[in-house]
Amino acid sequence: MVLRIIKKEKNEMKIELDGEDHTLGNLIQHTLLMDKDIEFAGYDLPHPLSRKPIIYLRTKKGLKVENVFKRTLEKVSKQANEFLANFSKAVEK
Amino acid sequence: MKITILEQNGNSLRFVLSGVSAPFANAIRRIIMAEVPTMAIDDVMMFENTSAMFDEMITHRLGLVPLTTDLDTYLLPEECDCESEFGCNNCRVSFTLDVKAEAELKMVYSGDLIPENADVSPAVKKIPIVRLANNQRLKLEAYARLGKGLEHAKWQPVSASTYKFMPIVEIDTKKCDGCGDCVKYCPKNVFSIEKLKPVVQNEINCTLCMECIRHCPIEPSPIKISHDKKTFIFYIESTGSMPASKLVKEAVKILERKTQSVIEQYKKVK
Amino acid sequence: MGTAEEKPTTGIEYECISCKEKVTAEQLAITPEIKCPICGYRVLKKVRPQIVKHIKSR
Repeated sequence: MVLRIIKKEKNEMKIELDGEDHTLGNLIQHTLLMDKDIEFAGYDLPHPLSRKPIIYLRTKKGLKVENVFKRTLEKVSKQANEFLANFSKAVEK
Repeated sequence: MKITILEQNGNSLRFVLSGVSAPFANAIRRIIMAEVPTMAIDDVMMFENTSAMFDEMITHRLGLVPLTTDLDTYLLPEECDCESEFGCNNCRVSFTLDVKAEAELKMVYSGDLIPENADVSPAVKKIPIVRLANNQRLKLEAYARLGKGLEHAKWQPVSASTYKFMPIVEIDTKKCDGCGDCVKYCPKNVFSIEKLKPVVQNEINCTLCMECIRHCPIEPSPIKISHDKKTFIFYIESTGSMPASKLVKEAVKILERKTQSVIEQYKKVK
Repeated sequence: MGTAEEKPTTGIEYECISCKEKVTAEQLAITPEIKCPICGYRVLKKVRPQIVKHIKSR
């Protein structure tokens, strides 16, 4: 998986995840939209067979965009770890 | 986030996951199907085939046989250092098959594949491969490797990986006339009659088909059917490569690894 | 003088349908018509070559 930043301005960013698909794209989009600092977020696959989703995010006026993306990914990672812990406990019972 | 196991027998697993978003549940479902590595036969050296089926057809069938998988011992070929076309002991397992039919018809089964390592063997032994007639013989050597469902369906570790929303079925007994039609027409026996009025006895089995409301003589119906958008009832059925609970764990580990990979690359490029 | 040169054989074999005798491609090339040299039957079957075939199960 190769990450490329296609566009970066003060409060908006376009990132390409070469090698991914809707699995991560939709998840990242949804988690971005739940963030209070995000004004707009979306993802698109320019071609369904190409597996190169582009994630677009735009923060509210005056807020920095870089930290929001990292914050969102960390939220997803935390949720995945929480799932693993809860699931292991539930299966052992 | 809350997880409750409803049913677990061998290869199938039914559990309830609540407190997560639909994209998270969908990511788990998609990764279980397409990105959890499984063992499957990929290369076959055909020594003798005098059967009625041609070589490519037999090897295609062998590729589809589910094999028990040990993810800790073997590596995906792209991650293995050997970088050889045929693989090494870390990324490839071999099988031999040598069946000859004598006087009677003989069926070659998946159980006739003799593994080099007993940890990676056919999950089901009675899958018919080809039928041999008198004096026909099938002799081959097969090589299995790890792969993902994305590349070819033979590497899909599940026969079912699905979820549905938790149904919410409510009856306003004050408005209900006790005709019993909902009990009669429900295909999943969600309702039963108690003290002349219908009660919800089996809410979790509801498929949201709305047949009860359709047949209810009162309009608007006292039955209210909806679903909880944050609670998912998962059903995972493995083909035998790994127990279903292990599949779910591996899938979420892969999701976590993917997210970490995005974070690392982002930090570098930022 | 010296050993006779070995003509390169293709190793391709055929089997007559009626008398079930094996015939090589060189033996068939002798006459212009395709005929079993033993019984004269004109239908022959190609015998699978003794090569190990590598197939991808896709």
